[in-house]
Amino acid sequence: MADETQLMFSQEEQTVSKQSKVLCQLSAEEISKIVVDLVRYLLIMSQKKLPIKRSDINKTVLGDKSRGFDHFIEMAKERLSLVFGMELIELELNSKSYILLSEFQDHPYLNCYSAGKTECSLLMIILSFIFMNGNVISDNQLYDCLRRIGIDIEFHHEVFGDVENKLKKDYVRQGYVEYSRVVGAEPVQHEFKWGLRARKELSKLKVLDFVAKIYGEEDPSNWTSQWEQANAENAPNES
Amino acid sequence: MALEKAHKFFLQAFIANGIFTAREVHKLYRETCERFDREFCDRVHNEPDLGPFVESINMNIKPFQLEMKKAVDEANGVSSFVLVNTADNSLTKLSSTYSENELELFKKLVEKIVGSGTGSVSSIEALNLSSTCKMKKPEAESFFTNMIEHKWLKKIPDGHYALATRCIAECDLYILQQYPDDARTCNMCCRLVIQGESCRECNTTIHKHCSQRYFKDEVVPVCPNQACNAEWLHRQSR
Repeated sequence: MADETQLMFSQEEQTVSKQSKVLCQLSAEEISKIVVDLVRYLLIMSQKKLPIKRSDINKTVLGDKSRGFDHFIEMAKERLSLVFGMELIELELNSKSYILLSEFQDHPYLNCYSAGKTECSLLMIILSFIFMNGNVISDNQLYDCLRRIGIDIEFHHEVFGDVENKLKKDYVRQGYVEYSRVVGAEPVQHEFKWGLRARKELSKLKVLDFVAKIYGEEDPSNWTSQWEQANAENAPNES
Repeated sequence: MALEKAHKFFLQAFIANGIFTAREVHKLYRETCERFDREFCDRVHNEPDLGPFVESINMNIKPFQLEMKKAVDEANGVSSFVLVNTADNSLTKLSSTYSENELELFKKLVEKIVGSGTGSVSSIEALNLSSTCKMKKPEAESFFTNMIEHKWLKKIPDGHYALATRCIAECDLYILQQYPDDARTCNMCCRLVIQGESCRECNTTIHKHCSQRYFKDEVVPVCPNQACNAEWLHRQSR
């Protein structure tokens, strides 16, 4: 047992020393220049809202200094948070893909709001369906819901275009929805949930307001369960 | 260094949008103050006390070669705030969202507009550039529409394309360096001028808004170039 911990420890030490070797060779100025470049790169790339790959970061920004990746990314992460109010998150542990999220929920100038009205409404409709259905919806259920409001995913939609592609590719990659196989379901079934970005950047209260407006319902608190959820989520948050 | 939540919120709107007119900025500032319970200074001119607020953002983003600066619309004199890159590779910001071919096409369009003398090119001329960048015309057209939407380009009343305020604020140094023969600077404010008023005798050019200020009290305006002194015709024609 003791040997094992020692072994693990020394391995860790080795990676650290490799990294610090890279860093030791650089002056403070060089390091801060790399961090500035990295922050700029992440900001620019995040405009498309797509995940940013570690390999692209290495290729475009770090080059022969990629060994110090972990160190540089930590520093960039700190700057992004302190100065820009953005959170840099690795999509999944060791996925080597990063996404930049705003620390502000319902920022009126961000997200679907700024992507143009049509894009925004389709996304809001889809997120609403998921939320109102209890935070998860099977693919067939969602397609039924969409069909009922005149969006048939099998056909190219006049306003929204290729909805299936947007739903399964664009929104998934941008982190607005998660699309996954239902575990153990036979025959194979898929379901949609809110993605990381939607959970972080959109409040359930906002979505409930949107739904209430569509239904012509004055008071969103009439949806008791959703209302409670939305408020529970809102309570510990800032602003 | 760190910024307060209100500053970050304000800054993010700029990162997403690039440019806001002075009126929009004040609205954004008001919203920001409300959201974060900040004191909102309403001065005599009914203007919020934006200066110091923007200043502290600028201090913090300067190391990242970013800056919020004021820019004036060449056509109507409306002032805006633009978030610009101060790094010398000023097309970097564009490069993330557009492909290499599109960027090439944009550079050619800028060159054509700067060299046109009038500061604009017809949509047909603009579309004809597409073939030199391995692009089809419909592709080029939707690219231009996108550029208009993101406020890099604008369509002027006669259907010509011209550079929008955001583009001039972002790329002024690039244009001056790249096209030293064609790019002109305003005789008044010494900044790049694309669509301005030019003297018919000499090469002097000034912004419309600069001209308005300069010739405000002149009965017979003359070219500000002392060596020229020719009559300034633009003012009379109004």
